[in-house]
Amino acid sequence: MTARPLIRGGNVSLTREIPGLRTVAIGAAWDKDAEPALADNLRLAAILCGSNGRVGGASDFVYLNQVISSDLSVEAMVNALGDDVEQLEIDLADVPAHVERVVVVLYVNEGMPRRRTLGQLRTCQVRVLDASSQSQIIASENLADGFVSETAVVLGEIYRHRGDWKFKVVGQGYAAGLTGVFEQYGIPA
Amino acid sequence: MSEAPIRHDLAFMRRRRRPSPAPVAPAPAPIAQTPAPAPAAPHLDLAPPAHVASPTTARRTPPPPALTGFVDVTAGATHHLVPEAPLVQLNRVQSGVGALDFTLHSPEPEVLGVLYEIDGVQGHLRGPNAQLAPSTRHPIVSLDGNTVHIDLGNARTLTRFAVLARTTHGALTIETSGGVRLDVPLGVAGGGDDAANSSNGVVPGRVHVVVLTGHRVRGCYVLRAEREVVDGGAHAAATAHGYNRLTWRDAETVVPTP
Repeated sequence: MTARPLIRGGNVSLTREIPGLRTVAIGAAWDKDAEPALADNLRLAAILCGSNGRVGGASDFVYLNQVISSDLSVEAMVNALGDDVEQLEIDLADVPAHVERVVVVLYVNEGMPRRRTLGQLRTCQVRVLDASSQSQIIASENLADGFVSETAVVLGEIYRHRGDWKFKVVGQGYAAGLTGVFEQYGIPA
Repeated sequence: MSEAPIRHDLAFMRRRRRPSPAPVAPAPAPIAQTPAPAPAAPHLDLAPPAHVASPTTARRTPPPPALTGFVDVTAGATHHLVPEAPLVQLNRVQSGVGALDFTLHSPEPEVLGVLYEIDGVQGHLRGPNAQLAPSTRHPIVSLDGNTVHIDLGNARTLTRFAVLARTTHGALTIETSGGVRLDVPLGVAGGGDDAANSSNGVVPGRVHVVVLTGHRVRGCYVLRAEREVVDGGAHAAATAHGYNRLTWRDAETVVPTP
């Protein structure tokens, strides 16, 4: 749809641009030659938030150990297509009415002995695809330029706006990692 | 011979692999202290759905519900696993994010060990040297001194484990990355003659204490304080807990697998 990468803060109305869009895939890609200890521990997750910007419970955090949201509308995929390293799939029509936005987070799982950070990445991009055709709708600029010591970053979010679904590139990093993300969105850990 | 051209019009035929279901682990021992039976499960409501799900959603199946009847463990509080209440369950977020750290607080160094089962393969780590399993390149379980570390981000194949100690004194603490803290005081009673004769808590000979076991059940780790004294070395402790696919050189040492 749009050839020009979307910069931080930029947004696009998905369902206005593509009427009838029902299922989107959110993909993330980063350096193919990233250090294995970092690449093996990068994870993509989705957070289902209400109007207060917070989750209803731990089950609203969708990731590899909780691959499907309780309402079945959001799923973390094990294998991604194309150039994406990880993907999430969202059925827009089935997202519960009380969920105002789905936040997409990339994080370093800090379970390894030596700390890695997102600042070690040279490239990091998020994109949105029409899941039915796997055609790209929009892609972000390279978000890695802004990373330093962060171990988690909100790549973007899909949110309701006047009856449509929009996507915004965020690119906000968290030096406190997933702990900071959990505090921000009220995820009980 | 020329290669066939790439068919970009067949993208719809490619299938992404769905996440495999969580590995099934043996159920933990019966919950003796279960406070109350689970309330009537809402998923038993047979009423028709309020709306028609999309084809994508319809093909998805919800994950099996986690076991119920456990006390919630929350960040910021210390939970004591005592004989009257030895069991807790970490939820799916606590079980899959960051790490689990087990630290034995004991005056004796390097008396900790761990049995594990990863993707059906069993193993045993013990000091004095630091060890990693199942491999140094992709470690999931590691032992260093009196600390066992589990990388939860890669632990979906870790179906169960058991923490062993060669002492009856001290306490084991368990911490999650999210700030959950669990304490298991050893203070083992009925430790047999060997333990009873020990003045400093270091059990002589081949006596081990199985301090705690963990089982992955429906994506959640169920932890149980065992505090069980076993005579016969790590081998006997392993056998007592069903780690019977190991080959032992002696009571403490497993023959490495190729």
